Amino acid sequence: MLRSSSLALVLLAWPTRAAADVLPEAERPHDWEPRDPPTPAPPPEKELPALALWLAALAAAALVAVPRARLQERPR
Amino acid sequence: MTRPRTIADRFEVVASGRSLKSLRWEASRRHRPYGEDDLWTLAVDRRTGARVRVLEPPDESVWLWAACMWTEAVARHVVAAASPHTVPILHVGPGVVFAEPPPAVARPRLPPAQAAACAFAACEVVARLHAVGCGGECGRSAHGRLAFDMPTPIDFGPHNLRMTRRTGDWTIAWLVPSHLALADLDLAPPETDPDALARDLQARLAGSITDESPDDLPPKYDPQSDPIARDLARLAGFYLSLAPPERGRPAAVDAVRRLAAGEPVVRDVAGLARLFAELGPASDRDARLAALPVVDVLPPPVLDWDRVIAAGEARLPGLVPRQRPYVVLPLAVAYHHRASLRAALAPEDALRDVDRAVELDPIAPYHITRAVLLDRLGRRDEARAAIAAAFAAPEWSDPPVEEVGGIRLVRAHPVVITDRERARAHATRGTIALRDGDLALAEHDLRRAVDLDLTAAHLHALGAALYARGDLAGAAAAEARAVELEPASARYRWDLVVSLHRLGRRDEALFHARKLEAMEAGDPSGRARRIRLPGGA
Repeated sequence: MLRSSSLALVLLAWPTRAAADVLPEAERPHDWEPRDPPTPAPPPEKELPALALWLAALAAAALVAVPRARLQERPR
Repeated sequence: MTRPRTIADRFEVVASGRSLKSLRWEASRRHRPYGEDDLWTLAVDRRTGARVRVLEPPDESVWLWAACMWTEAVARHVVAAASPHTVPILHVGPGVVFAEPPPAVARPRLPPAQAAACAFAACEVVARLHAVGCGGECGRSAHGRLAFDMPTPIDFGPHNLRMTRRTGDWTIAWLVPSHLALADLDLAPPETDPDALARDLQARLAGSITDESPDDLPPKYDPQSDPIARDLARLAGFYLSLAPPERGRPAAVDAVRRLAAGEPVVRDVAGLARLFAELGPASDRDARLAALPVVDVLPPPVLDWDRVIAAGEARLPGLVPRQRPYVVLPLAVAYHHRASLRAALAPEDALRDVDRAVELDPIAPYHITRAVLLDRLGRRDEARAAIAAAFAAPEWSDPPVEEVGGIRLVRAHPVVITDRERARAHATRGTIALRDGDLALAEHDLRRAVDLDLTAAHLHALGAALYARGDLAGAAAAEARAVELEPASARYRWDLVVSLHRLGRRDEALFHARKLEAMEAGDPSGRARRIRLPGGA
């Protein structure tokens, strides 16, 4: 009696055990990975040295003056 | 003994579907044949009293969780598309409830025009699926192995891509997402359809079919090929199964035949639909062709990440430890994906997502993303710790495969860190070090990032580190290369102008300054920069 019930138990449990053994390994779904994960922010923008700023300001002022003179000379 | 079950308070389950494995076992041991009904969960719609069929995974199949999420996402796309060529879907999640489909029949032999109309309809379905990243036969894992837990839910067999005469002419009624187990029934020997054999014999006697080997007819394609090419071959094979090539076939049929043999005649499903349109005139053909999305590279799968995350979190508490990885690993990927989407506009929310991803699955890529987000939020101490965790992760230094006594062993849950990902880690640590003023470490990491993945962003960051260290020539060289790679970036060009100016290479600086001015014409934020141009422009 005991032997037959044990056998029945083993037979009942066998498909479950067998099914459990052949389960595939868990994987991360490769296709779900983001194609463009966040990347570090760029370093701060460069500044020109102070002397260059002065020169640039002077040059810009000269440039502003030149086109105005040309505008006055243009015949209408 | 099963309890009565209702799906979505609407569909009363009459019989639960069984797995193919158990049915096969019974068939072999007890000689009990099985049929289509055994593979479906059968239910009745309370509202209409109609019979419905439910596609759901067998009980206890937690390992299919990610595949189920994808199947349900595809089902939602099908509902949204509302195509007349797919079997109507009445409910999605959990499982997919289909209205009763027409019975599966063997492929009829059709005149070319009618076969082309059916193939054209199939093209319309597949083109829309390709647009949402659903295509090919089977997904692949990161190592190139077939990913059996992520099968693509489209099947072209007679039990899924059904033919029906409900409306008079032959049309298709496709089960999408497909019930992949039904493909097993497609393999029944053709002798079971004596009509088909008789038809075939009659056609051969009449001389309308060439004596080509039947082996030439099914689509033959390279399983390693592109997923779209595989679907094109399968669609061409579907047409040929309805209308085998006859003598004096038109050029379009020849093209379809070559496509089924794996030749790249067209690059996308819309192109194939055009070939079928030549074979079968349809009244609204041009409008239908114009509406087809043109997809020649399969995009990433389109999923509703909020829904996936909610479903995963709801599923987790009921799992035993052995089952957890089947939900935890994909769930963490879903959190990482959502974090990446939110990173630019809602970095705080993105950080919460990636925190959860790290908690579920502490792998290096998630640590890197966490470091990037913390750095962007100004939490530099935590960012430093996060990037250190990425470099300390076991997968960073250990290869996923190790050799023991001449036997190659693959580690459990291997994470393959690509060069691109390694470069992202070095770039993150390098830019944090640059902001910290640790210029030697910054230069080392950014050089490594450039070596691993040559991008304009990495070159630009390296240029900034070299500039800060006083290596102006090195900085200008790196920045010039960044400008070469991304000539439309005003930011990269500006930094190059400054380096060139400081090197005294005035002509080159002016050249780039003029380009910059042209690029930023009318840009109010660019005007301030222009006024600082060295020597004027």
